[in-house]
Amino acid sequence: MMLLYLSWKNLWRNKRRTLLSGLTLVLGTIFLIITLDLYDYLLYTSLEESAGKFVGHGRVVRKGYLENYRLSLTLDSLPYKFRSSALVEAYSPRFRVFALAASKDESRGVEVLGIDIKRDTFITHIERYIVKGRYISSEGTLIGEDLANTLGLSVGDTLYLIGVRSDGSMFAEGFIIEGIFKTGIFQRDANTVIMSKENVKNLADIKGEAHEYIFRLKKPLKALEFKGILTLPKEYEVVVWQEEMKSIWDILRLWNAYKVIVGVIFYFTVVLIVLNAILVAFYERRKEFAILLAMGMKRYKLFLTVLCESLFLGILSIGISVPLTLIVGFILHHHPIDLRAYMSTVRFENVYILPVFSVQLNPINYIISSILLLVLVMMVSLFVSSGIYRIDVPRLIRERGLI
Amino acid sequence: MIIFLFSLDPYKLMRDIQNTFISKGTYMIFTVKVSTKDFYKTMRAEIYAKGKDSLLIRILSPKRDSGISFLKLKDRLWAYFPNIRMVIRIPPSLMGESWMGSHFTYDDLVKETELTENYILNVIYLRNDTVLISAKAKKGKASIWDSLRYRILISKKLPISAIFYEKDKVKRIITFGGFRKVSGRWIPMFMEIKPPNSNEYTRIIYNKVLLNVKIPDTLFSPEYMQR
Repeated sequence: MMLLYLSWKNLWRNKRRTLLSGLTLVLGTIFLIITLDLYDYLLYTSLEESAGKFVGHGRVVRKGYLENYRLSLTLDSLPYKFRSSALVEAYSPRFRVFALAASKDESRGVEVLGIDIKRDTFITHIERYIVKGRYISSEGTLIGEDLANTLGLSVGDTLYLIGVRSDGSMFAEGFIIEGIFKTGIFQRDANTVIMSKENVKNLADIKGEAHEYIFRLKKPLKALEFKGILTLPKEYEVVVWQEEMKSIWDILRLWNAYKVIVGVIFYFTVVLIVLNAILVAFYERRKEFAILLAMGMKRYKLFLTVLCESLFLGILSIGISVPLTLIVGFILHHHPIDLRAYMSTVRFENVYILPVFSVQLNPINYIISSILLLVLVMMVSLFVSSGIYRIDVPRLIRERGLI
Repeated sequence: MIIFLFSLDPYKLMRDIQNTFISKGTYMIFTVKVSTKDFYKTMRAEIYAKGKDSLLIRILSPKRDSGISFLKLKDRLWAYFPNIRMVIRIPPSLMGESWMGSHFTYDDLVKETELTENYILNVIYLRNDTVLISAKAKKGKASIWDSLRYRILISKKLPISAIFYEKDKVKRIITFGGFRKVSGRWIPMFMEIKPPNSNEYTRIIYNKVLLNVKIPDTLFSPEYMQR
């Protein structure tokens, strides 16, 4: 206890040095946490962007459906266990039919999605991507911009759909286009037609309630764990976003592994500054240490005192930097700096990165940064304090100016 | 036998086989039976054809599909749907898709005659009256199948079976049967197409075949389909 008190007192004997070292650590921690939170934001928003463009965080299908999208492989209602799961935020049924979409002059093969017009918007945000017209009613269709251009169609025109019903006969029907969407994904914008699920069910004479139930999770990063604990009838199959959007999942996993490395690199400069401050302090106090040792203080006690000083400095820096970062993060999280007017969205494969400067408040980043800071400060302190065991007391006491 | 093997021209033989139904005017009525995991259906249709390049198929039954027509002019294909009264051109990107829910593709209606142009043909073996010909897709030519194997009855110039491969994997098998002489020409009156290791099939039974009949040219136009 005495050692702790001594350390605390020592820390404030040279206020300027302590404040300078502390400031370096505080600023370093704030910048590191903000950087990690910013990268998290970019990755999580890219996941939400991709998931929001039609797919959600996962889907429940009949086993084998995803192999060839057979019309007959439908589901009835979702099991109660799934519907009542606390982890599921929303779910929505869908039908899928492959057809030929045609105007009077052109035609193209398309995927027709039959959605629950209201419930789908809780999972995806198709309505956000509408560039012409409006979101669908129970009768009309939404089509992608590239498809509309290929077919030479616009809002108010009739889109003809031709395909095979579940009994093998052909359907051919016309639907009024109510809206045109643009997601930026060519396959979607060039090959997708969206209608109400009732229309698609009637069009292709499909039995059952849905081909798939897409869902949104409260904790999307836990989707794989959610799949693992879910016990559904054996004819049901759950596919989550990690399996469908492998590139985003790989980047996220890689990023989580890199966080510690980024932290170490980030702190390297900070630690060099702190090392310098601690070293200078140590050399300034060598004569003081020599006197204390001459007066009978044990070397290990002196060693522990100096270590505790660094520990206090580290804890103090964390205590100041974490609340400050939380304030900055909270402001940025709720008031993002939108740069979309100046920069375009970056896209590779199905991953989208929006030019928006904001942060994802991730507690892991605070924990990683704090632990790293403490570990590195203590390592530096250990390295410097080990000099106490090499102090030559008689030589230092004889040095001029000491007595 | 070896001398005969070398004297056999696979290109000529294949051309003869592909011309089985081709005449200056062909009229046929046929029944299609399709059995898949999802449905079983029977259709009746009639065909009007003139030479290689002009073909009109009109569905006669069931009632739900009645009146749907397909027109082939060279390598282009149109479809007519009476309930929306529209003629729609089938785009090249959809040629590999199923025709009327069967195991036949639109490509089968259009490009069947291009075997001798897009593939390299070789005689694999000759046994009694049967020859096995392999067809490998020529590089740079647009072909759906990587290779095919045709078993042919030489004396009647008739195919017995055809196996279609995609990357060395069998994708479908067609068998021919019910050989009958029509207008001095042997014709298979039955054809079955099956995916490998599956109970699914599409069978075509020719109920009526008339060769070298008079068919007006006006029949083969997208405008005529709407009449």
